[in-house]
Amino acid sequence: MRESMRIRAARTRRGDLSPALQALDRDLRAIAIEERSSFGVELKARLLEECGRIQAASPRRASWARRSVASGAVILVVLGILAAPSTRAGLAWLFGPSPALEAKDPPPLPASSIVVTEAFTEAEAAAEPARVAPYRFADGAPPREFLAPRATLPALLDPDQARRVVAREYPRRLQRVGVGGTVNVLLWAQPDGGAGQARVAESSGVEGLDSAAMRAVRSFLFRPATHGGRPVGTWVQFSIRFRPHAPDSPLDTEYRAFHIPLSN
Amino acid sequence: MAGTAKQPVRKTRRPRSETLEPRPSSEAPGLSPDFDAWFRQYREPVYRYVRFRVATREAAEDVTSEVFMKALRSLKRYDPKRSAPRTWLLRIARNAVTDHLRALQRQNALYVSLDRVPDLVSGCPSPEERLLREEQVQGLLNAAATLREADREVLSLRYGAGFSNVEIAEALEISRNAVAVRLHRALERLREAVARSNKDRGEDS
Repeated sequence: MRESMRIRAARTRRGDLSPALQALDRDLRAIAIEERSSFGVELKARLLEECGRIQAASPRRASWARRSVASGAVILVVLGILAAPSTRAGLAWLFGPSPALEAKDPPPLPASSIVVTEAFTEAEAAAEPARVAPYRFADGAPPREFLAPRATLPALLDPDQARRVVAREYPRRLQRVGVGGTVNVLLWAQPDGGAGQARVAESSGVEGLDSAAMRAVRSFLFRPATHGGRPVGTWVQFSIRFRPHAPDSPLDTEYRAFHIPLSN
Repeated sequence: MAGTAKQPVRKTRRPRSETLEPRPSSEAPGLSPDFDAWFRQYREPVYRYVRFRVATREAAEDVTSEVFMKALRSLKRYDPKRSAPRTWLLRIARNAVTDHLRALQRQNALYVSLDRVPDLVSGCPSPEERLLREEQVQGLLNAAATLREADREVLSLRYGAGFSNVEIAEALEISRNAVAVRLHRALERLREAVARSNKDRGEDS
C-alpha cells in the first residue's frame, strides 16, 4: 500500500498520469475563470471604506479607554483624600460642616431660563410686551403663557461664513470614506457677540465629527440677544449635519432653540 | 433690534483656509503597504479558488469580498512567524467557503445546478465551441461538487487557484508527497464521477 502511494506520488509529481487522467487534467486546466473587470476596483474601494471605518473607530475606543482610566484614577484619589480623617477634620475647621462633601453638581443650564420650543419671528419678539406661548420652563414647571419683556433673539452675523467654517472643519478623511452625521451642539452666545462655552448635546457617534463641530461653533459670531434693551448671553442649540455625498452643500447648519436667561 | 444692541466685538481669528486643503497623505485612510501588496498579489488566486468551489460568479464575488474584509479586520492578529500571507489568506478563504456552503445547506439550496458558467469559458472563439465548452465545464464542476471535501479542496487549489504542489503543501500544511497522492486520488475519483454522470445522462436520454 505504502509502495503504491509512493509510486502515485512520483507519477503525479512528474505529470506522469494515465491517458484518461491526463485528459481530465487538461480539461480542468482549460477552465478559464474570468473575473468581472470592475470587481477588483470595487473590492478595493470597499476595503478602503472599511479601513477608514476601522481607523475612525480605533482612536475613539482608545481615547474612551484612556478617559475612563484617567477619570477613575482621579475619582479614587479625590475619594481617598476626602475619606482621610485628617482631611475631614481640616475641612471642618476651615469651613464648618464639610461643605465640600455636600457640594452638588452645578445645573447644566441656568435654572431661570425659558426654553422657546419654536423660534418666533423678530417682529413678535420685539413687540412690547410680547405674548409668546407656550413657554416651557427648564426647571420642569408646567407650560404657561408668559408676557415676556422686550426681548430679541440672537442671530448669526454671517450664516454663510458659519457654513464655510463648518465645511472647512469637516475632516477630509471622514468625508472621503463617506462618514457623515449630525451633531447637536449647545453654545453660549456671549453678550459681546462672541462664542463662549460649548458642549456636545447629542453626539454623532463619531468623535472626529463631534470635535469638528465644536471647533467650528467656537468661531461663530453673533448679533447678541437682548433682554429689556440690554445685550444678554443666550444658549443656542445648533444642529450641524455633515453630509459626505453632497459635494456642493456638504453640510447644513441650522440653529433652532434658544434659552434666554431672565436674570441676565 | 440690533440698533439697541452693542456692536459685537469681533475676535480677530487667523483664517484657517489651510484646513480646506487635503490633509497630509499620512492621515488619508489607506490600506497598509503590506495589505495592499497582498491584495494585488493574491486577489486573483483567492477569487479563482473560491469560484471553483461555489456555483455562481456573484457568490464568488461575495465570498472573496468577505475574505479580504475579514483579513483587513484581523490584520493585527496576523503573525508572519506562523504562516505566509498566502497561506493565511487561503485559510480565511477556505473557512469563508465552508461558511457559505453551510449557509446554503441550511437553506436547502446547496445543490445549485451550475446552469450557466459563462465566466469559466472565456477565450472560446465561436459560439458553438463556447456552448460545448460550457457544457463540459458544467459537467466537470457538477461532478467535482459530489466529491468529498478533501478532494474538492485539493482540486480547487490546483485548478482554481493555480497552485503548484509545493504551494498546496504549504497551504494545507501537509507534505508534498501527500499532496501528490491526494491530487492523484482526487483526479481518479473525479474521472469516476464524470463517467457516472455521463452514464446517468445517457440513460436519462
